[in-house]
Amino acid sequence: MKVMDMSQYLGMFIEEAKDHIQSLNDNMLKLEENPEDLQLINEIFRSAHTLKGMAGTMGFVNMQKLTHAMENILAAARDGKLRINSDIMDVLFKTVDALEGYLDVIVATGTEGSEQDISLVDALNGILGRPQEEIVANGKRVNTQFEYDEFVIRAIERAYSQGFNVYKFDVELDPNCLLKSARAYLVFKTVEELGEIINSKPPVQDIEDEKFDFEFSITIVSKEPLEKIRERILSISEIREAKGIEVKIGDVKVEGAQQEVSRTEEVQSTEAVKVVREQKQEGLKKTSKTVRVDIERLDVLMNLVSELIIIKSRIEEFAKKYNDRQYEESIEYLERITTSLHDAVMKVRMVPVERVFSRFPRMMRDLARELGKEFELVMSGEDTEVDRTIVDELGDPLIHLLRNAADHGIEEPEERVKSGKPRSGLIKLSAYHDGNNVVIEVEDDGKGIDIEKVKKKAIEKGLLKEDQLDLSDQEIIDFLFLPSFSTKDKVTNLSGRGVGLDVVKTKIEQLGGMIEVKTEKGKGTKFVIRLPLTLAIIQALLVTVKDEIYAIPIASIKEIVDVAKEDIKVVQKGKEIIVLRDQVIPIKYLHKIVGLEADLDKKKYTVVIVKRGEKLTGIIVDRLLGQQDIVIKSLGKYLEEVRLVSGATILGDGSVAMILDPNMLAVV
Amino acid sequence: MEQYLIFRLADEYYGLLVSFIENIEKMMPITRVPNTKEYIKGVVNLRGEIVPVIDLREKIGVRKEEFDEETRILIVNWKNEFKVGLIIDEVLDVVYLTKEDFDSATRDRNEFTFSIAKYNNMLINIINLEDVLFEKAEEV
Repeated sequence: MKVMDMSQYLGMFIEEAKDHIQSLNDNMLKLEENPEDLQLINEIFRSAHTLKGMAGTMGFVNMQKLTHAMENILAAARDGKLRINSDIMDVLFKTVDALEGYLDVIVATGTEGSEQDISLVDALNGILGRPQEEIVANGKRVNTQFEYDEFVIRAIERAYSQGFNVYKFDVELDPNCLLKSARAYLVFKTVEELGEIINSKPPVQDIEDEKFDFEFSITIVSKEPLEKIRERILSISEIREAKGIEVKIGDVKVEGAQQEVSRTEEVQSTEAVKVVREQKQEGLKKTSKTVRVDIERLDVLMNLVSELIIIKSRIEEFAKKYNDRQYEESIEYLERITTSLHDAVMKVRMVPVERVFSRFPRMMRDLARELGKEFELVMSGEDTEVDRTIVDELGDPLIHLLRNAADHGIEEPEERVKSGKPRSGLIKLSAYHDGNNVVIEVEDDGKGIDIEKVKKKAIEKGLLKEDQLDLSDQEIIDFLFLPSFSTKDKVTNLSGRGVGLDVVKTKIEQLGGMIEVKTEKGKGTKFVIRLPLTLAIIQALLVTVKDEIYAIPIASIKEIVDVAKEDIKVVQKGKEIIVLRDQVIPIKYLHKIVGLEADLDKKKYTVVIVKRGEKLTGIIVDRLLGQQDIVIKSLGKYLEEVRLVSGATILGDGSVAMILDPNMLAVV
Repeated sequence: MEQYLIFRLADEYYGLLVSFIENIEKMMPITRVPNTKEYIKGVVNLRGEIVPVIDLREKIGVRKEEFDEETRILIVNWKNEFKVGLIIDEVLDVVYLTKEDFDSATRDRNEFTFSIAKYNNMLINIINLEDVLFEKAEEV
């Protein structure tokens, strides 16, 4: 037999398996709350069933075995033979973890590896308390269910309403039979004299092509009694057996899990049926029409749009010279189109943050058990959309913050009760849009950050001198973001593994965002992450120093002021400041930052005030060129260690300008 | 037998495996990138792509001439990870060098080691691109 090359399906398998594992996790969490919910059990069963089929097709035996065992449990639960309890849930969760493990190996190596988790299969089978074969056999006997597709079911319903009977015959041919399809044809012909064949398994075409062993089954609609038909079938030679059963409407169900999905789709398309079936559909995920696209193709599209925007700005500059109305109108039209095109492409790249959020409930549940703490995770704004590249990078920082909240933030239950709080803690994870930003907050109602402790630790680590105690609370909290700064005395395997908040901060800043902490002792802590909606195109202010052009992201600019030379004051250690509306703002020359000579003899300076969280810094530039949409291009791997610039952009005239990283401007 | 691009830096001849070279560009405007090493001249806009440019003469340590009509930027592709432009004084030829063309001797200049080939009575320093692109010596 020819071995099929499955590698081309591997990507598809991985994507879909991930989806199914996610939905398993989601639904199992819900099931834990409502162990009796049949709808949920069915959903889970279907996911497991589909996974089993997929794994089988791809030849992933271990996954197949595991999902099979899982399916058995769910089938038993569905049929009311098993009550779901927390022990069973634990095993089921472990099974899903194991499936995820297999999938990880598959992602990495293309095979599921040789490691088998026999113990889990045993544990699953153990729940049922008897060998699985027996269960399966049992199930078959108890359930005289008939599986048909939608059309056949309708035909059966119609037949009954018109007073016909419906029978199903399992016909077995003599093993010595040579012309199987000819025999089958005779059976069909004979039966059709007495009634109408509405279904056969395998399908007629396969039977004609002899694509069956020695058995096939047919379902017929007839007014004749069952026994008469049976006799007629048996009268044909080389027929060994013909078992007939009457098909009752109540016993009919739709074939397999796949069919179920297509059924809901069908329901969506026919308005009339929709009303009737609506209730059944409830709880099932709506399947909208989607296309899976390789992210690289989107990147190519995005690049093309970026090129278009660059050339558009170039044409705009020409247009100014000509001063022709028609020309200007066309350009305006071009402008509108490129803007819409850009928006459209951006939208394609946007995915809801749910993509990362969805795994957290499960993680937090496990975490609560591990830590012996009680808390609830409340999520909101899961449908907030962000650029796909950002979403993919968000997972690790958020996991870290959530673990932090659970481990460092939320107190032990007794301690909470003592301080008059509800026994169970609350961790809130929320996402929302704020202008051109997306904001994600991780908030807990725990004990808050102990400022004194942080201070002590900072002194211990030599980050802070004993006499430097005039720092504000906010400045002290910022120490938490320094590498390997952990205040937890007890090192757990969760947080405090040396991977600190500094990693979170670095990651967020790499994504062009920033992170802030708000904390109140005894009340809780809130981490606020602010991210740009997209990484590709931003609004920027173009400025010059000497003959160089730099771009500063508009999002980080608070305001621009002209300052007279005498208003620049020198404070301690030669630091220069200005006072703006009673606020002291340190200022720096962009010239010096980028390694050029600053012109110190001007009467007036243009100062761009950039904000970084709450902190403001004034940056002195020579000239402002104006505001523009710029396309961010990476400097590439060779220059990735350059910290001051976050990328480059190509200006209308084809020249390149560096984009300054506002986070670094305040530091250097 | 492999193909090499032969080029000139000041009055010396150098060779680089053709397979590394993506294209050869005339001098173009270079935008300085602040806070980088002296020999990194900046970046160029290569048909919409931002490509860093290294002055190979400075990096290897040969006498630096003014840019002129013959100055070229060799765009090299490092294992499909990134592209870098190398500024050189003049492109001379593309030749096949056989094993016999290679001298057993090698030559050191600063941290760079070159193998030497002889071709048409010219001594050609064959460049090890990895040495040029990565700061091997500085880490030690």
